[in-house]
Amino acid sequence: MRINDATRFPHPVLSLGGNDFISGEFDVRLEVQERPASGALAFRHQVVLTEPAIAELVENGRAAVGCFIRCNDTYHSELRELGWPGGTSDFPPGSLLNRVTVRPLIWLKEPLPTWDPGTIHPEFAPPVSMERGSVIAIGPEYVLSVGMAKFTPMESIFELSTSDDVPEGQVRIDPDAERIVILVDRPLFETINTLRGQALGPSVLMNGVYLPAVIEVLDALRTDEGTYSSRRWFQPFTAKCDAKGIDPKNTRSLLEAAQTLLGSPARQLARVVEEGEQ
Amino acid sequence: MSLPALEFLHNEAGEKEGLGEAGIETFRDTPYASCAREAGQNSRDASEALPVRMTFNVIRLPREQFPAIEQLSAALDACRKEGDGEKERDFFENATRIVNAETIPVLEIADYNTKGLSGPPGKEGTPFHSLLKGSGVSKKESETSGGSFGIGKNASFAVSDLQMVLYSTRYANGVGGDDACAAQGKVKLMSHTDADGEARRMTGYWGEAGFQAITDPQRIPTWMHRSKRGTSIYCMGFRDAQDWAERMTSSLVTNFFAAVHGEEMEFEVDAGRFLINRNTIEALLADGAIREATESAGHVSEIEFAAQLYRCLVSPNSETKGIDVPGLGKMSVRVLIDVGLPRRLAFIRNGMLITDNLQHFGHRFARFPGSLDFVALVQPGDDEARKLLKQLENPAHSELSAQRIPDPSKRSAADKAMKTLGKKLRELIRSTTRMQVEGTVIIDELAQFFADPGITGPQTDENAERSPETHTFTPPKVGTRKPVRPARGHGDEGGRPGTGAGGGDRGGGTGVGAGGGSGGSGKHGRATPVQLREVRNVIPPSAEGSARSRIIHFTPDSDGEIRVAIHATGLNTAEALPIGNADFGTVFTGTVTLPVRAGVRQRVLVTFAEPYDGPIEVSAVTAGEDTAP
Repeated sequence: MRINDATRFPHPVLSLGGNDFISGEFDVRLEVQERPASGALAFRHQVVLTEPAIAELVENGRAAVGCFIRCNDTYHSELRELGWPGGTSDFPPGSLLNRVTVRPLIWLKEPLPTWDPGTIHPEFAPPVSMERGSVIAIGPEYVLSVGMAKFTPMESIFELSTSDDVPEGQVRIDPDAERIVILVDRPLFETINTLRGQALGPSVLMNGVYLPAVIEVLDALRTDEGTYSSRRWFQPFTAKCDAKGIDPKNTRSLLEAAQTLLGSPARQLARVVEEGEQ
Repeated sequence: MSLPALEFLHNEAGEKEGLGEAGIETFRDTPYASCAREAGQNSRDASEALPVRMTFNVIRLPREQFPAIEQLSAALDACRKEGDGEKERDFFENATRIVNAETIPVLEIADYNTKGLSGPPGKEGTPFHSLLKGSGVSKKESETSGGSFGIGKNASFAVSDLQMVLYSTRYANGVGGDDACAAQGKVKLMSHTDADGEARRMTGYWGEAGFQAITDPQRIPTWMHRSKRGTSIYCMGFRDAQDWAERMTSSLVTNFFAAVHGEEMEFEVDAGRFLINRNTIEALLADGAIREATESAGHVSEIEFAAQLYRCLVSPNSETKGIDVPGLGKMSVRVLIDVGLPRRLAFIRNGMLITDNLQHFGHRFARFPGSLDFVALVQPGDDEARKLLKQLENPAHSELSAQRIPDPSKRSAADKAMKTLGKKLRELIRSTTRMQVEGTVIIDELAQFFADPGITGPQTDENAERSPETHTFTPPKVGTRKPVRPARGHGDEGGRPGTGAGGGDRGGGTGVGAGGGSGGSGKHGRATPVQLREVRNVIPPSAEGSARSRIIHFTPDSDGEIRVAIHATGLNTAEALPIGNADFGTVFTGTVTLPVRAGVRQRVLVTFAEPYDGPIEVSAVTAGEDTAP
């Protein structure tokens, strides 16, 4: 159903400017979380509902809070029920893209045959009767823009790749590309990617794979900086070195420099132990 | 006729029965959680309609209304004298203090939309008889039901500092007419010698003579009366710890989140302080006070796990797969993959969480090292599977084991089927949660250390957090439409504001743009939108019951004649609703022209050509000469 600010129902509806109820506000405050890597999307919401009679209906499960979500680019159209007073909703990757409109609603889950909470405008001549499914509150519409193009603030200069030339269980670095390529054999590639999808995996990888990789890159810069200066990774990497006061050519310890660049990753190992104990 | 009384069983054999009755001791460690869980399960089983609704409330019962209080006091006194251990002494001294107080706390657990405890109460095999007097039997409505009146009924005694529970039920009497009622109580103390020197057992019954239930409603205490079908359980001398409601709520949301989400169950705890229903379940699983109470009882990981399982249940990102196991039936497995999930699975039956492992069948499911982070829900997919899982459940409904099946061949078959299930589950989890990527992947987790801002350009959203892996932002609201003010032109009929250059003597005056338009001449003025405030509409009662008429209320922003049109809110676009008649004004081409004054409330009754009872959009423009014949 196309609901806008001009829509008027033949029964009282709490909405902005409607004044069908003596007082009260309905809104669903949204926070959108996007994961660029997976395309996963989630809404965190907090319902604002200050009309006491409607709030009571929701608290008792006689009415539901939700959002009508529409995305023209993906043809996604859905009335999503939301938890009260707050919660999180997942959306499958790709289901929403570009312009998405979100219209908060409250509707009845059971009939209200003679409802007179004392807060309905007298022009409705309460008590009023409403059927199951009747919309009783409409919140202000939100528009959000979903998609990779908008939000990626910065992209990693590292990538992981398989190579048949790398001996089993070993890691190689190829800095002679637009991104610094960490090369591994296929079984190790799968293992690393599995660890990346686990909560504690990145802590392990940071120390076991990424730290040595950064040392290798620093070593490459120390010995042959000019070779890589035209590569896209070069500027961000050296800028970070400058910011941390690291000069690859003159640094005493590549290990210390790499640890500085990665924020002392060994500290994260304590978390692995703590989680393991739990 | 004498009042209902409390009487303990005779102890002809002189058996020595202590206070630590095994059934109650089973639930001592987690009395509140167990009581809520067991009661919930029994009520779910007795459903007559869905959702089953349950309330958990504390009553402060005046001492004079406490049934058979003097007889109970005498029994407590006798037991106290005979109790020879510290535990017994402490228990009976505390119990004596409770019954001597002016008011006594009672936990009332009431269910609704249930069948009640069918009787007759004195007939063996009926639910009422099984609950009160059954031992080692499980009376259930169907083989696939979630509960029984086995050892679980003792959980109610674990929260009673008097170890006394009363039951009141209202059920269909089976022969038509009014419902039947029954009430009875049971107390479990220790064997003792009463004031008359007679040896008594630990178990006493409150009710009619001969250990019978009260079936005459007039003889049931008023506070135990039920107006609706269902059962009320009263845990007398309730141990009302400060956070009892939080602990019970924690247990209910942890164990019944699936039933609550499926609108099979609703709960109300502590006079509505906690309302557990489909709307509230997610927030309660994350509620700080409930988690705190859960943590103090040492079960915070369970509620955290339940919250993750709930997310698996509701998330459209979850994937559902089926497993067919010979000898067991169909099982449904729902898997959600996301970083931070616990890599665990859980078995659910009848909406109730049972266990997270099959350790008695060689599958602990403790580790899935090669998997991405995930959580999975495993549920029976058909009655055959439900029936077998029910048979395998331990009395605390927390484990599955084939050792509960007495028949060796059936036990062996169940064991084999469950081992196969375990193996297939592990295979399914492995195949579903294994990372499948080809070739090359970008290592996003290093973006925070070495970012390349030039690859994708700068971030444009000012509200966005600067996180490389998760982008979080708050979307803006769509601006509410501002009132459209009518243009006030000069001359006979004002034209719309123009945007062109040059002058004109009849241009509209207040629009954007500098020049005067050329549309201001002629006799027929162009209609200008009129803002209507506080638009309301009501369908008046009609004799034929069809919604052809509508009373429209509004306040216009301008004076004069306005032409009002009505549109039905459609699926994608608004459809015109032609007005056929109106109680004032002039109807013309499906609209009505009304004389109005700015700021003055208007009311008009219009009739549509076709019945329509849905939402509408009301609009108005200034009326020109072409609006009426």
